[in-house]
Amino acid sequence: MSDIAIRVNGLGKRYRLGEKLPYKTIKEELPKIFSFRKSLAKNDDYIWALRDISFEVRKGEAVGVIGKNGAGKSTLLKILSKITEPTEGNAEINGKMGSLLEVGTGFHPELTGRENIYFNGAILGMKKKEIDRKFDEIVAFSEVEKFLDTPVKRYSSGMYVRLAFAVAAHLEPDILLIDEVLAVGDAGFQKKCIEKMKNVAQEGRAILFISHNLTAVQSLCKRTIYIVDGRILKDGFTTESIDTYVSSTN
Amino acid sequence: MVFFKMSKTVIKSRHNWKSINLKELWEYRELLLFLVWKDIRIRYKQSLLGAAWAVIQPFSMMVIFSVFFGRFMKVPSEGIPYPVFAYCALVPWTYFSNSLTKATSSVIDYQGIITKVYFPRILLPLSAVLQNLFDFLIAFVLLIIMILFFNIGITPKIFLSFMFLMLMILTAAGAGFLLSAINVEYRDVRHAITFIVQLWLFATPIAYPASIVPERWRTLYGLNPLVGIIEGFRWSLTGKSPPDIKMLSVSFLTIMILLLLGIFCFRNMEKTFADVV
Repeated sequence: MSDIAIRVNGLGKRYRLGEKLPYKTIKEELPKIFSFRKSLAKNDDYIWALRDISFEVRKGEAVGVIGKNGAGKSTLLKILSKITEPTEGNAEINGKMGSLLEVGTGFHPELTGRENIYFNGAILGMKKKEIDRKFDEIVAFSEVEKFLDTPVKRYSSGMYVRLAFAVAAHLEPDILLIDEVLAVGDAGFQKKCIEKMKNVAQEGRAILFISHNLTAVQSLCKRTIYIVDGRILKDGFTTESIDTYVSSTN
Repeated sequence: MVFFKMSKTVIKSRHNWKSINLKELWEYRELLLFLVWKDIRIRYKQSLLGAAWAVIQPFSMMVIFSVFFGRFMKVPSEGIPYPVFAYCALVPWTYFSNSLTKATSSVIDYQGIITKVYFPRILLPLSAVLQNLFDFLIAFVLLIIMILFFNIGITPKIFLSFMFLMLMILTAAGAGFLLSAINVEYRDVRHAITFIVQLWLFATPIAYPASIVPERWRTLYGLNPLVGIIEGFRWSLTGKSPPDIKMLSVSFLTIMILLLLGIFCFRNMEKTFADVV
């Protein structure tokens, strides 16, 4: 059994430059929907959000991903979490994966805190039994015990985010993908979240962690990948990658 | 050291047609139930009349139909009291039209979620179709009460009504898969749906019996899958006017084709949902 959690080979994602261009018309599209081939339109209509991305993540390893806005970090996570398909290349995922692209995904304002824990947990891929088992822990972590039976639309934004993160933090996948979710809550809560993540890594799970918060990256990951314009510019020790990143932005 | 069962996933762009991944759907069965449960919960929160709405819609349509079509226009009703005749068809029809409308917008309604989390997208239209069964059941209870009230008498054929309900679910699912997928890319569908549902209502033997359609047109008429279903449903409950077998077969065939078309279109288009929604 190999100890590789994620193996990415030459991954690339091309997007159509939408919106400003005339939108697709049914007449143009119908034949394509029913055709087996991928249509190839003019090259200048497209942009490569990600190109030639290759790397490996071992079990128990936490890898940071940094880069400017629009560098392709989120696209990478979206491909790895199966939300969108790559245009070229492939990725191998060994184990059950959980992704945290935004806290509170699937929270419904009308549902109570209790109901949202279950619904959100299910959306994130937890089984009901698993949620039952971790329910008390989640509630304790979120510090909203008193408001469990209040619809979350009446929550303060802090309470909302704490509850959302608490659910997400109790996912137990073999591989965890995290995108900028620690930018929530006050300093104390953020620290608690980082600690929680560290525990996850120590349990032998793999983490891919995207953030603009360099301190958080540094305290969680030994290794960091620096992405510029959809390509990997540096893949090495976190301190070195951050140095390259910081010096390039100055 | 933690040992876990390894599951290996390969992510790459897929080019060929894919059928439904039943194994994966089975793994996600709990999420399907949660989606159904959540929508039923939310629908009646902060609502005064609550679940009574499930009855109000078909019942008020039945009243209007009975007055105008039944009483004034004297539309034939195959020896069944007109209110029962109409309500018998309006209960499954209401289920169908609500399910279809809800399913059509289902993927878009979950826009915020499908761009953030992966799960089989087909659960969304599927849950839209399943959650309306709750309303159907409530309206169905009133239907039974009405049948007893009008002294029509219930025969063992009533069990066949479940078969027709199943066909109704499949039709709503097939059309729902198809329209929800197209709706992601072309919002035209959203505007068209109200209108489609209205046309469909009058092209289906709800206010009138299928027998008023001339004999030679019946097979063609059966192409509307709801024709066979509604006639069959009414027959199974009232025991009157058995559906034309040729018409029923055509309807059955259309349902299967619609379902397959829906699944294949949905599965083929879903890979770009998160990019275009």
